[in-house]
Amino acid sequence: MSEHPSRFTLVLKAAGDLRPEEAADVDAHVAICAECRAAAAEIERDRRDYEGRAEAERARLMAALADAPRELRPARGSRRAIGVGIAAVGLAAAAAIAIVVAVPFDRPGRGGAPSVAKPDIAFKGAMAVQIVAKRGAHQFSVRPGDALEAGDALRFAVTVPEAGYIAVLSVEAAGDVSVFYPEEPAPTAAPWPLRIEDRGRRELPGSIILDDARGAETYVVLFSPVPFSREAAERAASAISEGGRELPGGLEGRAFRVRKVAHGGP
Amino acid sequence: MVGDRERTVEGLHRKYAGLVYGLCLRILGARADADDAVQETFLAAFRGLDSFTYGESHLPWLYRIATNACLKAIRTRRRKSESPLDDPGRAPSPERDPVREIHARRALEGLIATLDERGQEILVAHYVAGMDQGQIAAALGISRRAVVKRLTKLRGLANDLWGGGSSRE
Repeated sequence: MSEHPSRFTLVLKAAGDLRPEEAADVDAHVAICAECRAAAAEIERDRRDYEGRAEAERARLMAALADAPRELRPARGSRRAIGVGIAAVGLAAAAAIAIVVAVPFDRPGRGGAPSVAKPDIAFKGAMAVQIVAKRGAHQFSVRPGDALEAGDALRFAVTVPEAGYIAVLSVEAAGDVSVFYPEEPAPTAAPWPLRIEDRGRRELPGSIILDDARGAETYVVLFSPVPFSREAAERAASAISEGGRELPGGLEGRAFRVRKVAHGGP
Repeated sequence: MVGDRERTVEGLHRKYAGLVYGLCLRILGARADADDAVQETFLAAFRGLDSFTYGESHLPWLYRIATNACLKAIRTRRRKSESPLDDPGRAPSPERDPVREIHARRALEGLIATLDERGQEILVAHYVAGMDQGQIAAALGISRRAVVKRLTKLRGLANDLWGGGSSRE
């Protein structure tokens, strides 16, 4: 690790919440960086300061919980907490690469252009994904390896085997990850991914308009029957874009690697 | 009777309270205020346990709750016209410059007053909690692009106030 870990990463390390390899990277950096060593020492000092009265504070908390009025308590039968098994750490900053807009696409039965009616590629015999691009009046299904141009509008259609959650992300050649779906801002109190209410096919709303960045880019569609975090999605997208087959947290994924080229390029 | 939820929150407190306290202390300055904010944080965690959907670490979620507890305390303090003062009982440390910290905290509170709630959260997450862009995006459930946009606006203001020295980018 050549760059400073963020202060929050040092806090995660102190909590023991980093994966072993990440923790080892942080340790290696801290060993040679006085600034980070000082930050880590400060974090530990504050923690020790609190530990001196933690038992008393915990007793105060438990007493408050015992006396908690009814409105503090959630209704019976409410949803259980769900985690997806991914450590919370940062990823490289992502560039802004696309916007979601409404672009009219041809539908089945409205002419000869390819439609988004039939998924192209199934994954693990379960989720299927189709990406349709529109360039001017021309509309075509995107295949892995295709060349896409700035201004192309992409539309995503997914077929899922059961109700669940999906997210669509983009990973650029440099590793920067951006989220296409769900669109921002995500409702912070609700599960982050898009909810799909039932099995079957869905076309995602709006279209992604490609910017003029060039080079390889991978579009990743993720599905899970249970909610997953944005962080988990970003990790999975990075993993799958690098050829990983086993995705963490029970996520299922499908990747399309394309080339973004100049207008009229090869 | 202690139920599962109480036990869960007790376990979270045992593991994370000292680290959450560190954040609250950096925001509020006084140990007593920070202790109260930690209590508020874990009470709110108890109420919102079902909304936890982040990764396996509860810390981003708790940090967000703690940030809001501290921002609420600052608003209350402002209504009472109290000044943010450093805690005389706080243990001195060689790395800390009390004068600079008080100045920074006053600047922080001044800047907070000019921002909407999302801006306040991002400000604290970046300049106080020391989260990077990806960590902020994950903790707040927004895109990294939105974080970058907000931070770009904040950076000039914050650099003026802190001389660019409070964040580790």
